[in-house]
Amino acid sequence: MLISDNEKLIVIKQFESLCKKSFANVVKNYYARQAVLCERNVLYDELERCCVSDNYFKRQYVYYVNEIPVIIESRKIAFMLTKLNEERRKIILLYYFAGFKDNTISLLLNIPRATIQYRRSRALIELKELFSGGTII
Amino acid sequence: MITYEMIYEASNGDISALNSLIKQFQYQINILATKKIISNEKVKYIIDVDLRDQLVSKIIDLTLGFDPFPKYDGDVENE
Repeated sequence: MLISDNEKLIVIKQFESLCKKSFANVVKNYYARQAVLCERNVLYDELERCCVSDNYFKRQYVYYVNEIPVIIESRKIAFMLTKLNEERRKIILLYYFAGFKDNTISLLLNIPRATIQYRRSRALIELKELFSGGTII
Repeated sequence: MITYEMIYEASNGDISALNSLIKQFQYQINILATKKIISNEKVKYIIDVDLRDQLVSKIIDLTLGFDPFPKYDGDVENE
């Protein structure tokens, strides 16, 4: 297909204009992408706040319930638990710290399940009062 | 300067024509990819290599898909 010089000039202009438009779009998209990355990127020192550290040498409080070791890391909670009576403390430790269900605890302690549930709820109320600084009736 | 032959050959996949076409746009690309950076109260201009590469690849992409024949507004192809 033969084309005249004038038509060649038109093709060149069309190509140049297409390139200019595309360049503008590429630059615009690039900076938009950079802005998104700046928002979402996290600095290394910020990452350290989210990391998980090992607790091997951290101070821990260990209670033994029927020869099952239950570890508590909070000093305050460990101290408050000493103020509960033994049965309630055992139930709290087994339920909330060792992760046993009421049925399992009833088998371990030879107490009916309903009693476990009652004592647990009472122990929680007691702990709540202890933490808020109130007195236990 | 960009010539029609250069565009035609580049659109048909000729590498040397494509390279010379990129060379023609090099100045424009460098200007677009230049960033102004202020460090220690001194102004520096650097070329963002990522952006430059993106622009170069865009030219290649455009050229290979370009139809090197003139198109007019409202053009209807005759059978």
